[in-house]
Amino acid sequence: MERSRLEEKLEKCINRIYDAEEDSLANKSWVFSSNDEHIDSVMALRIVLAIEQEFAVTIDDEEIRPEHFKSLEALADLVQKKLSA
Amino acid sequence: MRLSPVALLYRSPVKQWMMKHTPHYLAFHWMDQSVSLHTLLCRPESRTSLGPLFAVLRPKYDQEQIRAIAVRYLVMKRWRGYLLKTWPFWAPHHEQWVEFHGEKHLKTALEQKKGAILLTGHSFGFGRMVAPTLAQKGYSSYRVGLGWQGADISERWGKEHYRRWHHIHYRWHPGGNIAALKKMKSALAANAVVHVSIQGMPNGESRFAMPFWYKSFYLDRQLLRAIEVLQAPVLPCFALLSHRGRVKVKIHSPLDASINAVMGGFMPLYARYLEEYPELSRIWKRVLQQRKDW
Repeated sequence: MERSRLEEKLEKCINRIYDAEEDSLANKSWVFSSNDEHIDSVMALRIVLAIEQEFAVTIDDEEIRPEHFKSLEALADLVQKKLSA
Repeated sequence: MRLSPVALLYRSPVKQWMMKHTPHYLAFHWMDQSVSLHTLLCRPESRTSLGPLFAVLRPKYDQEQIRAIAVRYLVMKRWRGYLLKTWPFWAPHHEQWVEFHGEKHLKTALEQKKGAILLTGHSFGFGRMVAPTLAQKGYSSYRVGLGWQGADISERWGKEHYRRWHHIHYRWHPGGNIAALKKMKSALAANAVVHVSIQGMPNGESRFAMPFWYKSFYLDRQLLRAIEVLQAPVLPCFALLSHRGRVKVKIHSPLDASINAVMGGFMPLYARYLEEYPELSRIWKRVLQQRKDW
């Protein structure tokens, strides 16, 4: 899958989760942050589960690290790695 | 593996023989009596650590009643530490000193093949005994949190014949727990039992408020949100102290995995246990000190 297509699909997937979240956090910096302390881990879990469903990949527990949630690009790197594995 | 002099002492054959062959009720009786004697010589209200307990309970109980609660609190504190440290020796005979009430609820919940979350109040009662005992009973069990892990006691006591439970390290802060949550999800997908305790916070939204004696505290919103994502039946679970040092684990009927269901079902139960068993709570000091979590 092309990188731009992957990022687009990923963003749509994340937007759907944000729209469904009752609390509507509105600000994506809650999940994408360079500071681990600012990452919303529940939202991140929602995203991981959605990615597994959307892209038909399995992300192992050990592969999930805060650095994957620093930006959309970092998350796309993880998905691309899984897709090409 | 490094062994400290204390660990070597614990491993001495004489000590191990004593631990293995002392019935639990005798050990409890000895502890109960020694604490009672100690509190006769040194009044519990003079202990700094018990100040918050006396301050919080004073409006409801007289001095003698609070003193009795304080003695039970000290016994409970020592007994809990003792049970955790000696678990490998007593695990094979767990039926004699850990009783489960409501295990049928757990079995029914597991029939759905979505796993089960046992939810307890943080720092309440003998919660740390739940996952090890369930493992001993043949369940695949996980304990979520910090502190006491199987590896700790293995290092202290050596490899004894007890069943291992799993541990998920969770630090209850917003970031860095993504992997822990994913591990919980994987465990539940494998129909395991995940035991988790919910923390209290001095501040929060009114819908998460819990009555606690003279004031309220707020249940951890982050964990409640996580429960919604994990989508497994939630069973309130409280480990109390029963007759002659026995631990009584009470499992209540399952709740839906939603914030409203947990607040409606778990919160009143937890509030009732806190009121009925003030000696089982270890959050007194944190409440009075207004720490950021309890």
